[in-house]
Amino acid sequence: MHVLFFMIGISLTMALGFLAAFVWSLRTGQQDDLYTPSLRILTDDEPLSNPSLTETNPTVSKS
Amino acid sequence: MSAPVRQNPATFGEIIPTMAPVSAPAETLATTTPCYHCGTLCLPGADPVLFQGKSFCCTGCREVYALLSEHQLCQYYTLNPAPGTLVEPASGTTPQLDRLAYLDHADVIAQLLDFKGEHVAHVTFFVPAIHCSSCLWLLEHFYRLEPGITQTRVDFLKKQVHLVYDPAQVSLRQVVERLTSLGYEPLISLNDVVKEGAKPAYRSLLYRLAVAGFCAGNVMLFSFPDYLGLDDPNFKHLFGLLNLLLATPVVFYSGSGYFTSVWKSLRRGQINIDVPILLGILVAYFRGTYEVLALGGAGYFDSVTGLVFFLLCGKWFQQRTYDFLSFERDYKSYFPLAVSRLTGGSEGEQDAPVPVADLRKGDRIRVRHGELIPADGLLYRGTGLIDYSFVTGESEPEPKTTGALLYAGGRQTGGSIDLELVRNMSQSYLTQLWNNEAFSPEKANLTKSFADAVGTYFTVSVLIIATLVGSYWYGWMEQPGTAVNAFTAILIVACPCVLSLSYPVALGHGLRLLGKRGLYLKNADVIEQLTHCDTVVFDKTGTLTQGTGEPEHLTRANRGTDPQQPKTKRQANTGGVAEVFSPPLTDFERAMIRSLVVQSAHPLSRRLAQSLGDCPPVLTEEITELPGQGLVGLVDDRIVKVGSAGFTDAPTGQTDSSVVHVRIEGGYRGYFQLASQLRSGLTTMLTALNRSNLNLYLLSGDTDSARADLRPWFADSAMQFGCSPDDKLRFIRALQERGHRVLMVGDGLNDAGALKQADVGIAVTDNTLRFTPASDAILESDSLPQLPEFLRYSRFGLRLIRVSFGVSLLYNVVGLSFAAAGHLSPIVAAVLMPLSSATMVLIATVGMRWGEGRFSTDATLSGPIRGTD
Repeated sequence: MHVLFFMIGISLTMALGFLAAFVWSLRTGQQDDLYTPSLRILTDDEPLSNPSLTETNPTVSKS
Repeated sequence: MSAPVRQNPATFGEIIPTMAPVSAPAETLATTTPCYHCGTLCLPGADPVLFQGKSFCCTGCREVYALLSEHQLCQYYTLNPAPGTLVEPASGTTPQLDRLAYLDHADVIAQLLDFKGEHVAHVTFFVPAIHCSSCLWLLEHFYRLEPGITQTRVDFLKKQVHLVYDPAQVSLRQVVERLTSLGYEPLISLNDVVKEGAKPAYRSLLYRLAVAGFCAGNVMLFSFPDYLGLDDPNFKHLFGLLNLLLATPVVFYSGSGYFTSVWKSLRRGQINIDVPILLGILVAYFRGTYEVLALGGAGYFDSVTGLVFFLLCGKWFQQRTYDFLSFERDYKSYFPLAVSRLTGGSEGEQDAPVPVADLRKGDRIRVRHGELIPADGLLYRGTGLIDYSFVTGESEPEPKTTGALLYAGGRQTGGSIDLELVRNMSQSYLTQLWNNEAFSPEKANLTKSFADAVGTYFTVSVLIIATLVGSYWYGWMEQPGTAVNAFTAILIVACPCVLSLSYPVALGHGLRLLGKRGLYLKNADVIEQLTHCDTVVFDKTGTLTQGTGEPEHLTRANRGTDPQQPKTKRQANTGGVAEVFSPPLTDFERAMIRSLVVQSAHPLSRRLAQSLGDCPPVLTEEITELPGQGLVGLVDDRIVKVGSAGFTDAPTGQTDSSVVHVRIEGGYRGYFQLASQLRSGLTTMLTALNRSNLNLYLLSGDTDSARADLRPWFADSAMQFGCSPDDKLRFIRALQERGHRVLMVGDGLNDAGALKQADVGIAVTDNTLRFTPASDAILESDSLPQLPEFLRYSRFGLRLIRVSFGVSLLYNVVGLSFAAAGHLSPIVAAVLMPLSSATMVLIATVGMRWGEGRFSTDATLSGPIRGTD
């Protein structure tokens, strides 16, 4: 039965981890806009036929 | 493919079939082809601009297309057909962007930027033109157009664009100019500077909800062994301690809102519904603590934490409102950030942008086309054509000549004008309204809500029952232990959590269902305040009557909500004028009539002139206007009489006030029948309101020309014309002092004071994205006829809450019988509490939906129902 103490410790730690993850997501504003990502995900970038355009800007992957 | 796209039009032909061959005659193109960029139908007769096999309505749209295709951003056009905004062609060195010169002003830049480092600056703009996924895509690929911009993020619902750029490479003005050249002009108002509370308000509640959810779940886990009869004292003690540990943050952190609410209400000498709730929570918590620490028992921690969790869920449900609508706008949202101030003498006069806040009485300013007048001033140069639609709701511009006093809030259309300010901005005719005490931040809520009224009785009776039962066990049965048990158990079980749960759930559902029908409430409490209103006050212009012609920029933004809406931008507005003539009027006769009526300021003349707007002018002389009768003049050397039946010796019996008769050269021609100016469906609404014992009043800033139209519904004494914004506010206050609860329905900025002073202020708008004054609710004008239904529905919602409160009392009786006997075991409490809560949520949800279902069958004039939630 003593394994229970261990299990309780693990379960509480895991749940605390989820709580911390949620708090982090709130703090970084991930819950601020729940609508736009649903539109954003539907548009794929077509491959550029002129790669020189991307070279001028190193932050393409950011957006 | 490495060849530049420009030289390879076939690339686009594969994606979108070319609409018309380039060689087709211009005539056929002109009638059928919409602009490839903005979708505006090219005018018949006008040549569309052709470029790369696509047709454009103007060079402005073509320029945008060329720019996008050069940067390989034509995916913009494949995501949605014709996603663009009509862009006025830039001529030469973009002179129309001179008005953005103020963005070079260091103070202005500092005020606008969210963050500024040496090589990085953050700024957030409100861009009203955002309406589809193409906009989103293009703006988020903005970096390809402008190398100085490193990142853009769009918040679609709020129509905000967050930009990160390098100030060493581009200036703020260049960024805005680039956005503007694409048709996404940010709206920069004085309000942007007064940024307050950047952190969204919902976050603190979600933190508490998360903590409560985490703790309640684990407490339930540790309480399970107790339900199942686990008797190992070691584990029982450990679980008890863990529960205590987990319940502490729930009570003192998650439940902290109840402490502040109770403290506030007690300081005011009232007992609200939160008092018995907090009492129940605290008693359960401390009794549990005692049981765990002293007796090694289990306590009621599972019930307490679950209760707090459910209550917070209810609050959260109620709080999810329309945060993309703003209910707190004041004149600052309308006013520009900077204007051009003129300096120097009459020779060598120079204008320089200056922040509006620095303007002083006596300053001379220049107001260009499309700019807003920031403070009252005398016009001393130029011809004003002032559009007061923001202020009064009347969209027809008023002509002004030199020497006229122009009020703040008007928008100049036409050429630029020079003004000398006669008042400071905050003291102007319109803006001084905000100095009124009605706008002080803490406006006491006049109506006491049902929950708070119940709270008093509830708390007192629970305390009496608990004391009686406690003294019975202590005095008669001489069992002090049971007495304490019973006393505390009653306080715990009688906790009116059910009422405070059915409240937010029912009202939250009501809020969302009303939103579907075009009534957007500021918060759910407005539903309850609506039920108390016994008096409805309407503003006339723009609310009951329709604004005559809709300015183009307003119809444009409508596409965000309804992409299928046909684009009728360039159609003439006939304004519901029917011609009854025999033989029918010739085009020349129409032109004659128009030339005459255009000279008159009478409302009927103005509407007639507008409906005949396409006719060419004809030489007109010797015009005389006889008040109350009509106009007579010499048009093209013929006498034309326009006016009432008596004035024109009309043979027919048509003496209606909305009929205009015409006589040309001694021969009676016929008459124009002008449809009532009331918005469609309003007659039914006003009749329904009259029938339901509500007092109706009408306030108008206009002359009393519409008095006759409205007489069927409003008593003569209940109609007030020629009201100033301040008059309206005082009128509402006078009604309230006579004990009425007032619902104000208005639209323009001049109603802002009345809307604020009223118990419930509803702002009517043709477009929810358009600016509306501060109000409790925003109503789409299509849905205005449903106002009686909205009132009925809100009363239904409150009845539902009362019924569910009655049901919850039944549960309390069951719980009390256990408690009074001293046998309230934790498991009974743990079962009763969620069971009653679930019942209430069910009643509230099903009930509100059922009430809304009746809505659609009852409403004879149901407006469009929106699918978005």
